[in-house]
Amino acid sequence: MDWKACVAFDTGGLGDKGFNDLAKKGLEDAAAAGYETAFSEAQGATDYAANIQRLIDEGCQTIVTVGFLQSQATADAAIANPEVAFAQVDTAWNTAGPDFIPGNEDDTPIPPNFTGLDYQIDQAAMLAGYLAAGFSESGKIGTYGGQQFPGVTRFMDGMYAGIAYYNEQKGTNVVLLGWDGDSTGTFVGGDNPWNDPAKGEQLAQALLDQGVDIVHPVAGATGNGSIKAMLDAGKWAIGVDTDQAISLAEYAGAILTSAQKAIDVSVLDVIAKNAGGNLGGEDYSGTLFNEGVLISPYHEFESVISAELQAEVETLKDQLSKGEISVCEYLARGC
Amino acid sequence: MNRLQSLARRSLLPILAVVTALLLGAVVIVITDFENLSKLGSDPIAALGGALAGVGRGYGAMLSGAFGDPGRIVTALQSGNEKDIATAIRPLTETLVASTPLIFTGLAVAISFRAGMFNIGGDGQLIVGALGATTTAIALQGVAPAAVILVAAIVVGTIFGGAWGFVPGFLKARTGAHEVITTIMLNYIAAQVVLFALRGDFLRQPGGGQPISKVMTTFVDVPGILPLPGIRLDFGFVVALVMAVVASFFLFRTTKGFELRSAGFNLTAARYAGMSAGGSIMLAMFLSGALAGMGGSFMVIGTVGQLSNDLSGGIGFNAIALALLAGLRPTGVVLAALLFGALTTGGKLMGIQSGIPFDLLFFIQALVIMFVAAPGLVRTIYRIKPPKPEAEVAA
Repeated sequence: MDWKACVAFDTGGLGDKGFNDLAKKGLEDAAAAGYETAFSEAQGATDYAANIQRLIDEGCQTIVTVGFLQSQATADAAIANPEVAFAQVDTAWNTAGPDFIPGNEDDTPIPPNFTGLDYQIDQAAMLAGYLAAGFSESGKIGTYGGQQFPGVTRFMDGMYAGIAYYNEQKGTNVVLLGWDGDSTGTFVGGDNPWNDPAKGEQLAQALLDQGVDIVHPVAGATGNGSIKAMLDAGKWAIGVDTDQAISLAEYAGAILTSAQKAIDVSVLDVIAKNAGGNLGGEDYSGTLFNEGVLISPYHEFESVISAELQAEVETLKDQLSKGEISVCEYLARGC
Repeated sequence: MNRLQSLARRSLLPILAVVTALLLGAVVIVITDFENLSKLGSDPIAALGGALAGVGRGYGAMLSGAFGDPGRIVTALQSGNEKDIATAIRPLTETLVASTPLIFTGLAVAISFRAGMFNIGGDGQLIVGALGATTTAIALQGVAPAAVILVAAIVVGTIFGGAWGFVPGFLKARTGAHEVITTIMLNYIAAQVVLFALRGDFLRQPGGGQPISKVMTTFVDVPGILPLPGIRLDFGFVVALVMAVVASFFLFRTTKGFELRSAGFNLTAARYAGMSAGGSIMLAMFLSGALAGMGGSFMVIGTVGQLSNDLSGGIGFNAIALALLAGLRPTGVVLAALLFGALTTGGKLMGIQSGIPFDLLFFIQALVIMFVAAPGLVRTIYRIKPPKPEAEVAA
């Protein structure tokens, strides 16, 4: 195939067994499908625009950038290079322009060569939250994030909503520790929020001490430490971004399911779309309906989770897909 | 001994250190080339040839990524097409862009080390300076003309960085608190301060809640040197060179500079000679922080145009390495920064073209530092006689 597809990673880095690696997998799938591929890594903020420019100079025809830190560099490059197709993971195009105020002269419509890849992950997390609420023995579920970014709290919103919906349906009082469904919660912070498994173990232990028996960490490799701690304690966890029962097979015994973004699939899709002549002009939104977000198979827990609960999750998935229920109805802060 | 000879003599060890590190880097490329190594049993000659070709491709990409392709530059210049010229010379200008903050922070390290202060806080001082510049620029947006915003932002950023550097200097001079500990800790505090500042509506880019600042290029930008599309090289580079001259003059031609170096040579002797050693330490740390802060300011106002907490990307630490490579001399800092700039810029293209991970560059840089820090090692490898003691003093 005569099309060169490239990915520009941010400083978050490869090897996270989640977000970045999923984009990498999308690129590898593209290579397997016959596309020419390349990728770049960044060490600091000065690299973003430079790396994108290098990929353009290398003849890349589709450039997928990963992470919100590159938003400005990606937008600038998309406008300056109309013949190259751009896509950005976890972002929608900002139509309000640099001042972010819609309705004035700097408003910029989405360029015909840009595709934002956005994921309604709260839908999938809501299913996971409902499942967790039904599965929990103690009636206490815990969550925390790496840092308070919208891409992180969206998972936690979904957990909150799923639990709230379960309580409404069943008249129970399952609680979520670590996120109030509005704007306050527990975050790792510090200088190494995403890559500190030891810290993740401590956080899980603190939650276990409070009676929590299912944890949903949204903190990259830090969260992997929490999943290990839950396994050691004979309790459970909900994975994040990718099917962690596969990517972290050694901890599969604790992972009920994962709230999953099909980043790899959408990266490959956007490359194929670009190669077919459509360079963009419209954002992609991954939902339960188009399977851009999903919850992973239950694997070892297939026979442990009651058939009734599994059926209820399926029903909720249907309702969310059809738009009969929306996540924000069940958030403390409302829609 | 004339100046040229002494320069050649001083450069010999650093050059050999770099060459040795690149050779060892090549060895690493070969032994991690699993695809070719797996054929070692069946077809050793082809396997080794393939692996060596990989080294050639990698280092070739590094060279063209750092300096561009001379033939292409000539063709582009003859054609006169602006876009072609920009594309052809971009590797070269990007090397200078990458060198600019390294010159600032390298000078910062050189000045503090000269005063005997092991300043590990370049990263913190850089980002606090960038925070000062960003805050000033955004506060003045729409109030003052672009030129005023530009100057004010750089000045305030420089002072912010200086203040952040002054703190460990003050603590050392007054309480004896070790600067290695205080500067490292202040790096963490700086990172958190910046994250905190980016959570407020004043600096933060609206529309997403992500911790990045508003984009400033729409109302203030350091002017570019070359009027070509997509060339980021700006006058920050020129200011960095000027700072190197100023730092050199200050260190070696002024009384304050002499006092500062005396404090570094021997604190007790400096005190005995009636110098204010504490004052020298505080001054050195203020100037050091100010240079790093100025570097950070030029990054946010110029090349990047936006503040985020990954602005530095470890520049403050690389600066320590290159300042040592430079023998703590401002002219050496400029040369070492150009070398490190070329390595990182070339390394990026090496990663893209050959798939050799950029991490190899950290390996090479670390080896360079090791060889410079242990000159005996390089002398032993290349059988060079150690310099006579008096030559060292004269240099």
